Amino acid sequence: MPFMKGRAPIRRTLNYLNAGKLVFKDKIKIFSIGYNIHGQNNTGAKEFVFWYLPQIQYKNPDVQVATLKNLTPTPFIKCYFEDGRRILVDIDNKTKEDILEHLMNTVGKSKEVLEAEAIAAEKKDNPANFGVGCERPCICEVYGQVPCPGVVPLPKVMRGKYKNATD
Amino acid sequence: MLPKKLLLKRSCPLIMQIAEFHRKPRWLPVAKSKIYRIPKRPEISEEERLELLRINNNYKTQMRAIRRFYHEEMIKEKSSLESASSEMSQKLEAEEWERCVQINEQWNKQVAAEREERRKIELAAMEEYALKRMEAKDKELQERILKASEKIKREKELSSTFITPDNLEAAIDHALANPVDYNFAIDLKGNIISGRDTQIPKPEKTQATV
Repeated sequence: MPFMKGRAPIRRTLNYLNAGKLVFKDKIKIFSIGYNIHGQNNTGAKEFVFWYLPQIQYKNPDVQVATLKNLTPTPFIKCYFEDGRRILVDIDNKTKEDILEHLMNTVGKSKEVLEAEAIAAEKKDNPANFGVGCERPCICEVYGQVPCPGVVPLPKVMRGKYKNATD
Repeated sequence: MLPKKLLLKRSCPLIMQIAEFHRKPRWLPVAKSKIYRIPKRPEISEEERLELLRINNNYKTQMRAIRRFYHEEMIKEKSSLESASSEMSQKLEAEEWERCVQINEQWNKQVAAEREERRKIELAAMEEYALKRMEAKDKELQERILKASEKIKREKELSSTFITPDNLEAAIDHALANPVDYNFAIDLKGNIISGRDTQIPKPEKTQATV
């Protein structure tokens, strides 16, 4: 898709996509929304699909997002869980903001959980960390640090052979 | 570790200690002077051998026991920790699920009620519209009937003047007695002069008027 083409190209900007507030719980695997394009009671669902679906898909890359257009008498949202449970949300005659709020309360991760996860991710990504599972396995790879004695012997002042020399 | 050759072949000398393996490389054969050297087998007396075997066996058994003890302890600890955490998380999750379902049900109920209300209003509007249309249709039909009946009345009145087989002769006689000439002419002023044999007004008179 070319830049600044089509309806509301802001929906494709990274800032907009990153601003999505709805992050699903880990157990949710499929998110499906059914709506019609006609009727006053469908406008909220239609706008929700238009404005918020890109954000949802961007924030939840491992969730399948399906839309069922013009296949239902009234608009609805159905979420399928990992273990076969499902949750049905009736979104008849609701605004897109209301729908998003409700979804955040029910199927989305709470604010505290998100914050904790962000902190954990930051810990993992901290470039100062070293060791197993980190970006660098040893501190000796950093410029200015003492190299590992297996690679380059320690300076003589640090070596017992010379420090504790008897003669 | 960098290869030694690479370090030695540098253009500028590098003052650096290198950790080296102080032996012949693995790929070189046995030194010439050592080709025929056969190391002597160690001689161990039977008593010593048995004693060493006993000690070694003891050591292995004890070490195995210790290792197994710590391994089992670790597994036990891990499993207990895991089960506790998983139980906790499961409990929390179940609670969360309950809460979500409750909220959702409430929301769905509210939406259903609102929809029912809306449906009622829409239905009433539809009924009103249908009734209006029906009334309009009725009215139109009535008007048409009225018009038709009027027409019938008029025709009935006119029917007294119709020519029937009974008064055919009289009508023919009447027509013959009063011949009607439908020919006519129009002059420049729009005056209609009916009849074929009508006298034309004198031209002097018309000129004078013009």
